[in-house]
Amino acid sequence: MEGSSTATMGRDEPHLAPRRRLLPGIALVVVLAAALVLPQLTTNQFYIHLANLMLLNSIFAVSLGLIASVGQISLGHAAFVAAGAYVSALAALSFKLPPILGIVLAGLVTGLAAVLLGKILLRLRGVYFVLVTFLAGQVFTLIVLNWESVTHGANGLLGIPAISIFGLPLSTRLRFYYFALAAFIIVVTFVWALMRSQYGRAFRSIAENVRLAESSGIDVSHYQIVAFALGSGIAGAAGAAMVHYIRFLSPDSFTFNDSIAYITMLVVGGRHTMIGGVLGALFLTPLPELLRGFVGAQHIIYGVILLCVLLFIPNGLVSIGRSFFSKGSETETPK
Amino acid sequence: MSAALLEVDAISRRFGGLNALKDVSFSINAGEIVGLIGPNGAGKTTCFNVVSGVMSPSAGAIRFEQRSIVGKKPSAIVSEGLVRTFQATTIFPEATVIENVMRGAFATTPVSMLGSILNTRAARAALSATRRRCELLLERLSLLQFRQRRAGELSYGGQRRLGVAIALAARPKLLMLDEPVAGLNPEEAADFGRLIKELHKTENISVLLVEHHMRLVMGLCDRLVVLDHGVKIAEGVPAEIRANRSVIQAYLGAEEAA
Repeated sequence: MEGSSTATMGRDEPHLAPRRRLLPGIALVVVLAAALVLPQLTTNQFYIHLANLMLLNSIFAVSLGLIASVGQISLGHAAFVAAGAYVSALAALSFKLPPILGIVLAGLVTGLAAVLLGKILLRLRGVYFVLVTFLAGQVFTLIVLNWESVTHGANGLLGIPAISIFGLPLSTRLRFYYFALAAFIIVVTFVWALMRSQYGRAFRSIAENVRLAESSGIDVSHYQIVAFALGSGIAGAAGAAMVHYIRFLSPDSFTFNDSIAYITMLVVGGRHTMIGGVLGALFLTPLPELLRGFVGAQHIIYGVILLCVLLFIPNGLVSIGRSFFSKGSETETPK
Repeated sequence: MSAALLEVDAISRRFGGLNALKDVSFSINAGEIVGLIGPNGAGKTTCFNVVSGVMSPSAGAIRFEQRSIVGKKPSAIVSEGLVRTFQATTIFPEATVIENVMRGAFATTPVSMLGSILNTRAARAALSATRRRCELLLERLSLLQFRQRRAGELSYGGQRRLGVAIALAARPKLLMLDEPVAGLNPEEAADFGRLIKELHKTENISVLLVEHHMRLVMGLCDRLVVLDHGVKIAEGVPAEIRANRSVIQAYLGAEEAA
């Protein structure tokens, strides 16, 4: 990245002084080093489990943020997570498909399902889109509950194998942690590159002014489907990864409440940037656990914290960091 | 003589029982500035929406450079070189001014989507070339000094000019402006008229203009098409239209009846 600041390219980012490029880079290295080393320093399995859930929830929130970046909120995101989980779990149990391939298959199947659903949802905007995604999620849960010959209905699926890489089963929490961390980095890097590209430009244009986007030659329905399919496909693949970690799956594993939780993470973290989804997941996943000491009052405190975030930092946690980093940028604006 | 740039051939558009447009035909030659005028409810905006692909016609044909554009998506019609602006929603208010124009240039940025994800050398070169082109447009529309501003912070007149810059970034052969001076004061409206004239010359584009502002229309347009109740009632150079009895009747109908 640093190498790209040649004389001609410098024009493109005149507002970025060298110091402000270096700082996030250093921060990134420090966070990555901490993420690699910290789990080795604890023997408390619960903390590692929590870290795994934080990483997976980050992926769910970021993938929902990708869908939201074209201006649509899906209330059925957990259904795609569950669909991916069922695809990979059933493929492993019935056809002995290695989980690592099951994860890929889950991503492809859920992404394709989103393309088909997207073609139907295409003309729906705003509240209608939200309602239909909600219904799609409910229908999915009903299918899973009632198709007992395949899904075992409410009894769920037991004995789902762990992911195995080169013969090494990721059967401990710590081993899965490094897998989840790698998956998280891949997803975040991909979404970051996507949002920086012409795709991101098209997505943001559509979210902000759909008619003007269309009259700028941006094929709105195409990019809506791309965003919906990529976001749902990532969610499905991550759901598959999760089911090979939890190793049990039932219709209750991912519900409407989880869809709401992903939206909450996105809104609390900051729905306009990818990092917002990550921050929201990192903040909200451990919160109920940290409040466990306040027996009886924990839900109240959780709710109060959410309300405070929404009232006082409506653009999400990410806006705190942003106002800190962008100090002085006003004065650097050229001319 | 070469064929017209845009040929609108007997288009109709019905909304339920209402004929918003009925058998309207007109054409625009390359290099012309044509005004589409008429009293409120005459069908000007419907005509505009049908030509730009936002609505499909109930009947009739529309050809751009002799190719039919009926049934094409608006985004595909833009790629053909027919670009429109909107009355109200002319900008992306949250994005910076330069980003607004970069979005307008989306379809004319020669970059592969995969290349732009991988941020290849070719993609970076294409994007920075587009950025320079967009900066030139901003300069021409006296907006360059605001390039890093949020577009919503621009003055009303600035936002109108930005709307034109966004449209120009798509490299139109025919620029369709929907009431571009609505809400501007007379001075700003006159400036805007000069701007359109200048762009028409320097950018080598044809213009179709829907406008209420008669002084602007009369001063700017080579030819006028007048609609009333969805029907074309007159067509001609401004002086002819000014003297046309049915046009006067359409605008001042009450007086005629008295």
